[in-house]
Amino acid sequence: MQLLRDILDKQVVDREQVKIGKVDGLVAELRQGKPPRVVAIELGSVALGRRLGAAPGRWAARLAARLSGKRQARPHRIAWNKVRDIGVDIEFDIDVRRTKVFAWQDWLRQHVVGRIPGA
Amino acid sequence: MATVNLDHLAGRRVWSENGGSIGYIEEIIAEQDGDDLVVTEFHVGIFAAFERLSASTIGTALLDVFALRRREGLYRIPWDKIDISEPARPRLLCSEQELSGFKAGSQRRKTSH
Amino acid sequence: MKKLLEISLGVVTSVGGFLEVGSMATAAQAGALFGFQLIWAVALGTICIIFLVEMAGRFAAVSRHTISDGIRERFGFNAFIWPLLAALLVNFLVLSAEIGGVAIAAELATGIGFQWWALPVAFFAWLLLWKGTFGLIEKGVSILGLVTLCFVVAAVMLHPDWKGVAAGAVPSLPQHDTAKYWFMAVSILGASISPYLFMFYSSGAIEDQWDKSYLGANRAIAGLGMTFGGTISVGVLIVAAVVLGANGVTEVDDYNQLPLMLIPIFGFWGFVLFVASLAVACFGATLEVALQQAYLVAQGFGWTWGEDLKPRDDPGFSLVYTLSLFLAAVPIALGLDPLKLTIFSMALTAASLPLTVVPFLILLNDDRYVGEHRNGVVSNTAVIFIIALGFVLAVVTIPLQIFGGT
Repeated sequence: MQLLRDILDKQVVDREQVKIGKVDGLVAELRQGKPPRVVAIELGSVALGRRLGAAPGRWAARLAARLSGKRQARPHRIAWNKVRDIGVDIEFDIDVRRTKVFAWQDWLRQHVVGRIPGA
Repeated sequence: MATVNLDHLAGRRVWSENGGSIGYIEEIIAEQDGDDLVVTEFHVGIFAAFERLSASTIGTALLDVFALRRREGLYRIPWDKIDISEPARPRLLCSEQELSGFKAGSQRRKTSH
Repeated sequence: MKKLLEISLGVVTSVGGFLEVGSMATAAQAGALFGFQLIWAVALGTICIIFLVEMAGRFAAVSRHTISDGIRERFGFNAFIWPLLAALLVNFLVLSAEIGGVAIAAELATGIGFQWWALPVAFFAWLLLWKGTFGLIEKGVSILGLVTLCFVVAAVMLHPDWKGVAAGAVPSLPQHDTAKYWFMAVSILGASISPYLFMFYSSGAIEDQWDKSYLGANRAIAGLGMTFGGTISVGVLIVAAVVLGANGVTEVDDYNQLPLMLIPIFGFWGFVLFVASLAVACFGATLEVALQQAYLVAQGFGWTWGEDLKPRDDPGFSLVYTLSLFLAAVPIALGLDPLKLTIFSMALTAASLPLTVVPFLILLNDDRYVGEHRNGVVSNTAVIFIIALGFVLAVVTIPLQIFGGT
């Protein structure tokens, strides 16, 4: 399997085929004397920001932290062992509503979009 | 658990022990090992984003027209010969002589779909 | 047959994409100054865009992904960032120009200065996007867009020298104002082959839930839809040539001259039809470009998107088009001349063509996305030709603007 061509940046969907996002990052565990093991994919602005550079990554993390009310924001991760199918899209055996991936959309809905009539 | 972001390795220059660059990480190959997906080799070549382009026939045809695709310049380096603990600076862990043994040669690579 | 009724996507893309303030202004200027000589440029632009739109539709129908999705997924985020920024900038300028076009139509109709209309137009467009569905916008703009047929009717009623018209469909060298001639040709091509046009079409195909069974209809819709826009543009050109050019009006630099074109044929109704055509074409473009900005960002970053969703269900997407519309209205509200902005934005569009068309070569030949429906020799040749044309346009556009522009 070619990770950069076939996994990175591909569309991620959950078990209901709901679009979650794109594979913004790919995390591997470094092990002594054994090959690196793919453990998770990352989604979201923090992961994307870090791909552009250290500084954009920090700004994205700060913004995300402020929105979620935490001190530090980590990129959203989905464990690799939950992967179900790899094709044009990558399907994971999860329900996006039970993750925090859409938290920023909820925030927007509550504080901005929801306040505009007709939304 | 010591982790690293594989996406930060894409297109990075790989440095040899004597400080010279041997090319760019074009692709990361992984295989199933039981329940785990493990990284088996790194493809290092002269252009940073090559592999992503060469998967389509028109891409390779175009690159061939401009003689940009030198397959003999591609190295297939096993996972234990590159240190990726610092993704911004991947380092070759073997000597240049060992490296020449990892050349892809002029055989046409079979692209898996 | 029912699928062919989806022609409305083709027509709306054409009306908002092909026929808008840029193409109308260039067609009028070209007709006034060079008679029928530049019809070939409109024809060439139409043929190119038919190929690109068909490919964008085929890609979406088979892979169920849009072209923007494809660029991010296939080339990676770091490579995607550049076409993204270029497209956002160019779209912003085009959106501004289109809002200006509607504002001018409003000024012509009411006498109230176009600056005052900028924000109301943006607000009305926003309201339609906020509350409306894709189907409503698509069919509404298509039906209203039929008013632009008045140019074709006018062109026929003027009994032009049809042999001359046919001769104009073949490229020829100008007898005068050579630099201006080529500048006009470049402008017409830049106005016709706009990236937001085919990007919008591929998103529209997903909004309309096309699948592989739509491939045949896609070909017909792309062909007929774009031909519709091209024919109207030729109509504008012919009318301008006969009414303006033949009477010595060779410079179209004041938008107050434009309505004059239809008055000799329809009398007072000519004025009304012109204003209505301009308003509908530019308003359609406003909706399309604003949506395209949102599609680009949402699809590139992987957000939820869809015009049929309520804004609360795709807040990121909705906020992008909201911000785009109101920010783009600002230059017009401040009094920037929409015609000048149009000419500038078309040059920039022409210059950005290579960045957005090169991906077609890779995406439409990648069998993981399009499977057995990849490009044949004809389509690939067309793409390579358009890319080459795009590079030429990108290079000559700035010098020509200096030497031959208004």
